[in-house]
Amino acid sequence: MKRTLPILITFVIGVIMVGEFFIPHWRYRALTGELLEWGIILTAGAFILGLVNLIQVHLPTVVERGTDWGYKAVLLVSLAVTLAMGFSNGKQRLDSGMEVSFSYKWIFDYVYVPLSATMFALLAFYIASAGFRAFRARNAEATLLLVAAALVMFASVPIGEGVPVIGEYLVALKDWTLDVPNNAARRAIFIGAALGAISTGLRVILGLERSHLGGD
Amino acid sequence: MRAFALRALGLLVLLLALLVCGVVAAQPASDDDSAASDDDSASDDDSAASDDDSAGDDDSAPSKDIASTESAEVDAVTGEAEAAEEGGAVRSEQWFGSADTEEGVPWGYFTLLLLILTTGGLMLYFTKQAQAGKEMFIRRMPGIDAIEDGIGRATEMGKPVLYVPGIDDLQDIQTIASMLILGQVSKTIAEYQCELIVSCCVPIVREVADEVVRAGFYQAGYPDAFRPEEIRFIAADQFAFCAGTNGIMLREKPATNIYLGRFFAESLILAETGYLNRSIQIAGTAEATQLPFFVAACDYTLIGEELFAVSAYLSRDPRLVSSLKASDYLKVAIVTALLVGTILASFGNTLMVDLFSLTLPGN
Amino acid sequence: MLDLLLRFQAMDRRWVFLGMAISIVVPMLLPFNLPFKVDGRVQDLYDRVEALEAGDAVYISADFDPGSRPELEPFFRTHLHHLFRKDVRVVMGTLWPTAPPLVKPILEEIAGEYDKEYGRDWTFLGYIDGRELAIKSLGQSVRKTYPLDDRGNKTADLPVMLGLDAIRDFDILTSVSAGFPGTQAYVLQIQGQYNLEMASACTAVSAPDYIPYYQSGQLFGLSGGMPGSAQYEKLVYADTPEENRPRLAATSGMNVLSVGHMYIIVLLFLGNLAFFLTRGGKED
Repeated sequence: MKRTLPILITFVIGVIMVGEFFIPHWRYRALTGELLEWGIILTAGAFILGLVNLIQVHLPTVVERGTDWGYKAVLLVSLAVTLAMGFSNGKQRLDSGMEVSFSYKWIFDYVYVPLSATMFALLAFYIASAGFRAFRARNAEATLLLVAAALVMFASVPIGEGVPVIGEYLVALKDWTLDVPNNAARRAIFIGAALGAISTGLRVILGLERSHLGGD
Repeated sequence: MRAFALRALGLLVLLLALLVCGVVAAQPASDDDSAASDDDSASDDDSAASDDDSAGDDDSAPSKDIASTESAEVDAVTGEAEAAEEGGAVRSEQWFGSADTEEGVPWGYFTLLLLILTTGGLMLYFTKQAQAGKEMFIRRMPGIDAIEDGIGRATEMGKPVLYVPGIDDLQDIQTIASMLILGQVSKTIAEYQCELIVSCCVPIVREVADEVVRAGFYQAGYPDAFRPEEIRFIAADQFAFCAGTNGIMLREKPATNIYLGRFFAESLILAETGYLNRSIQIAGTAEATQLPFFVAACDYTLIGEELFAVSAYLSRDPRLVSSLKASDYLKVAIVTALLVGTILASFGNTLMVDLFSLTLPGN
Repeated sequence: MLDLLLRFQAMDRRWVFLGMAISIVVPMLLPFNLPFKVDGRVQDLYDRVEALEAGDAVYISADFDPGSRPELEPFFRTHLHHLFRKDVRVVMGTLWPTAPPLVKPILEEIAGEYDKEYGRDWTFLGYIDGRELAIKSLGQSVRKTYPLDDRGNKTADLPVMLGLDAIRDFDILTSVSAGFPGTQAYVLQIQGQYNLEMASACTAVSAPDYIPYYQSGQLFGLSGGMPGSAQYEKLVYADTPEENRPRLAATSGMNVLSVGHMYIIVLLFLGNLAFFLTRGGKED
């Protein structure tokens, strides 16, 4: 029953949620709405588990002065400070004032925003280095990839549009590349992936796939 | 099978009881803001809401005097207008189709239901065939073969294998597929007595990964080799997770990186850092925007639906391989419909379009 | 010569990074303006929003974070200007926890410029967890999904929410999306089920993914990345005198984008030239 019960629950709940797409009756939607709310609550509640895991993984290393304990200490201190700021000002969010506290906003504006933007900005550099390394015209397909990439990059910006005589043709070719072959390939990937997803979903719902429950 | 059916029936009864409870809980209280109950079912009421009426009602000041009790039959025009004014969600009385349609059910709903039931039926049919001993062919996929090679490489080098199940939540099908694959991978890793690090971006995924890997080690016969501290929740933020995982790569220098799941902008940063480490990298995602980055930076890339075939390929479980066969039949059906529909549409015939449409013709 | 070409192909990636840094910083310090045309997808987006009437309601899902600000914030600001100019009711929510501190001040600032009143003309519902589950819940009832707005007031009691509950009650839905949950989830869970008119502003990397949705009519408009935002700015402020325009971040960013793209193209060209001249010789 330990293995059968999860499969049964998966089957019944799975069928109900699939049915939601087909059954618009308000009584049925009341049930699925309730289930959706349970899902949202579970997702939010799992953050507590994540917090516990973070502490479980990093605190012993700090205590024992293990490898890279300094980084782990920084992580735990940052975690504690941010949590403390958020909790100490949590009540404010329920009042009509609705302003986040100075300290919490400071952390967001001067720590989180620059760090997040920096990480995202790394992509520009990594694209350049990955492109330089990988985009070699070794064969016909690679050449096609290279030409298409260069065309789309060039024609997407004002410099490409402004080329005398051929600029508008480049833009038209770029648009055609995005609208026709790109769309064809993406639709193929979408359809394939969607069918794969249906297959995986049905396997899980029907109980054919059980490796997530601990094997046979 | 009979026992399963009986248990399923028992659970269905239990859920029916839940349904009744949900219905009772959903009854509007007199002070609630929900609208007067209305009937927008086309079969019961022939009068259509007129655009002029609803437009006029939108401009007028709302009446505060609307009773929020149920009424048995409300004229669709005024009922819908009142519901719109009061702002309650219009409650459909239809049992099949879309709440928006008053004149019938679009064919797409029937087609989709038929496809899902057919696929499910085919899966069960082929499963029975597989259990009866019929061989099912599955084509070779170098990317998946490379997973075992990568684990072997990591074992020889004495370095860990890093598994990243994507950054999306557990409800995403790619994450579910990744968890299923992780079960197979962890079993292989246990057999090779290699080290595994799983880097998770979502707490609940971390919990499921913990159970899956534990089960994999147990199945392989090495339950004591499982170390829960190697299943790590890094951070719930995309780039914080990326930075943390990069840190793992640079410090612990895994020999093999496996990225299977749903990825976004962090994919290239992860893959480039792994490349810097000279790790063997196997990636698989159905996220089309990230495929080019994985193709450029990884040694093997599984594209789209190949990700969903990995667990069947690795396990060679007849049930799973047979389900792949069923989904292949579905693909053939879809492609045939696409081709036929394209030809028909080229001659002005919209039969196939209407068959798959979720809105009525002319809407 | 051959040795030089081989070394060029195998050069330390930090030289590539340095070149990229120079190609980004220099046009920022020495700005120039090149004209650009407006894409049909952005034009359609503008035209549909322009066709909105006073009192219509728009739901905006502002789902971006600091990383995608350069691409999406210009569109977001311009869109708010566009909507408030048309006296449209704006209801905004977000599915990203990092979005509220970014989007809320912008909404308040721009609403203030048009003397729009909170609760009557606009509201910010705040962040809701649950990703796709939350989107499905929005489809059924916005009020139930957000019983209170960001200021703690009951959503159902707000005058701006009059006549609005299920997401299909809105006239259009705009998804300003940097990833997931975002446009794709809204198309699947909302547009497909409720046939709501929907537009998207997304990062440039996602735009090719959403073009099929635009072509099939599921999106009536699509703004992709900084170019899309710049084109939208051009349309919205076309009739605004230059001295009255706010700072057009996307338009000024297009020059940096141009030089950055050219740098990568030149790099690809030189790399392949070296590759051919060395006949696929030794590389990294």
